[in-house]
Amino acid sequence: MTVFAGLGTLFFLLAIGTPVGFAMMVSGMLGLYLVGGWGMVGGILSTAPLSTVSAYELITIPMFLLMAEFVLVSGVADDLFKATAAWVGRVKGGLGMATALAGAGFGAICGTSTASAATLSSTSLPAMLKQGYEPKLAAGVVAISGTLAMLIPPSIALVVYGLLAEVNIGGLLIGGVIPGLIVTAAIMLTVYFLAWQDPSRAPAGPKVPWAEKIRLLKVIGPTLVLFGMVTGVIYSGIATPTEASALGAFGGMGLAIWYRRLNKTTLSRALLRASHGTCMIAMILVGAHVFGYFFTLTQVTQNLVSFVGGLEVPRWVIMSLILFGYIILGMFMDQIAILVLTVPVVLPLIKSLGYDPLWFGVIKIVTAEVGMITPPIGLNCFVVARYSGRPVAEVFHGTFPHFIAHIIVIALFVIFPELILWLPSKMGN
Amino acid sequence: MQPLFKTLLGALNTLERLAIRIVLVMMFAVMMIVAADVFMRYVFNAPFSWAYDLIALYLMAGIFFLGLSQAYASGAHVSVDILQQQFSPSGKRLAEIITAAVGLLAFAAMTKLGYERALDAFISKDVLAGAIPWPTWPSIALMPLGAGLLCLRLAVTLAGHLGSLMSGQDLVPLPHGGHGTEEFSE
Repeated sequence: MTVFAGLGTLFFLLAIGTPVGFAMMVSGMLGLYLVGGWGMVGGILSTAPLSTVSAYELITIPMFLLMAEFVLVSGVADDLFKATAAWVGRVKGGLGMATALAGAGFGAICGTSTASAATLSSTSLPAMLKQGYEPKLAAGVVAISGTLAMLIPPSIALVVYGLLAEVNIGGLLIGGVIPGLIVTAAIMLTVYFLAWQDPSRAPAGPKVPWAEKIRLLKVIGPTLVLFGMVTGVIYSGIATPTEASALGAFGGMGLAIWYRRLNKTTLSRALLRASHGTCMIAMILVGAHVFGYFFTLTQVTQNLVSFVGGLEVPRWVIMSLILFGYIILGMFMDQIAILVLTVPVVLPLIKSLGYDPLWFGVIKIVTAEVGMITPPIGLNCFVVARYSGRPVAEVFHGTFPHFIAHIIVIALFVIFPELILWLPSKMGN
Repeated sequence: MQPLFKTLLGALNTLERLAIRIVLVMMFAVMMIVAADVFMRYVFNAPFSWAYDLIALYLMAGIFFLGLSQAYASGAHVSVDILQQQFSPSGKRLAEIITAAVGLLAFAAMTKLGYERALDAFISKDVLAGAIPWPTWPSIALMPLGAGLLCLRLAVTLAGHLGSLMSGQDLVPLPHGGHGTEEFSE
């Protein structure tokens, strides 16, 4: 009964648009009150918020957010597409593939998907349209390429999962590298396939002289340095993810200074946006913490785990159902909200089935990528539509082939877990 | 009623701007301290022993609690607004009233509990066990400060939407949604 009161309140508040963190905190408080009275509510409410925000790993969130803001300020990402386009623009569907590569490059220095989609919309989309690309195809590849930022480290989404699931954050971030490359390849293959089906959709780009190609490579330098400062130091074990994130933010600021884009206005705007993002995520984590206490006391999760454990079905069926559920949820809910609401329930289940939580985290983020491009609330499609002035429906339509490709990639990761787990196992300490 | 709300909102904005300025400085400080700490450790083998206590105890708590209210006011807290978007304007106001009311209850409790805990820590001169005995009360005090500021914001929002519903005037603006899609859609 208490379970339903707590869950009912939660779903009601979520439905009327209460911020997710508030909704979880309030319904968690109600649940705790029903279980143990005011004493229990007071005990948890007076300690949970402070202990949540002073967790060492949480520092990673503001620093990665800040790094993304500085990278945007520096404008270094604007040139990424020019460079990749010069190199692969000549092949069939080349500019579309260049967009995927630029998305991967951007993902390597920036952890938020919408920032990436916005940058790509203002650089690669006009170039493709000018080249005579089918608008649907062009917009679709931009929207999906933006999502690579969630998977390729640095990644805010992976850090949030790590905080919730108490999985090694360094391992998670490194675990995103190979899947990120595979997804990039899948996007490129999808574009190639579409261009092969109907070459008029994606005309080849003009020839770029070698001198120009070499000159454009100069953007790769700063990108690689920043990537090394974060992912490199985490992989080699030189610094913890928390330290690496601050190094990344610092490096991002250095870039913004180097390109002479940093001034009082851009600096305070970057800090402000990063602090808003931090507050939002920390509030959700605080809410999840309070709600989590209540949920643990009700033993819903244990009952669910033993129920599923008693089912006579192969574990891959259950896994497929979970992933299918995530893709459906992703159509209607924000990805961070999905993480906090589901991880406490789904993770024990995953563990009891014998799956690796690190592997599951990376797969979960790939389903989140899908959620960013599926109607009705696929955020990246709205970003692309806004920046390009194209109708949202057209962008959603254009992402459909990538949706299919992502489903295949997810199946691949389920069948071959080593694709995700191999690189983290090679990490230094 | 409109002039009253204008004054209230103006005062609240001033308070929040002050709080957020502190947040921005703290944010910058976290970045510089952690980066310098890594540098000192690798180049001079002399890390700052105080860095993480300072950040975890004061700076992260400050960034979260002092930024809480401003983040709410600017719609930065993510929500599932797919249903709310279908509501009529008065329906939206009603939803906001419920949110503000339950939020006010929860954060008022947090403010009260935080205040009592901070007072306790202050009187008993609690310090953190470690190389530097940092006092804990300023860190705990950030909780009632930030949650209290959010309570003020929620109270004004609540009263504003109630007043708007009753008088038909637009005392406080309607929510423009949580996760920013409407900002992006035409």
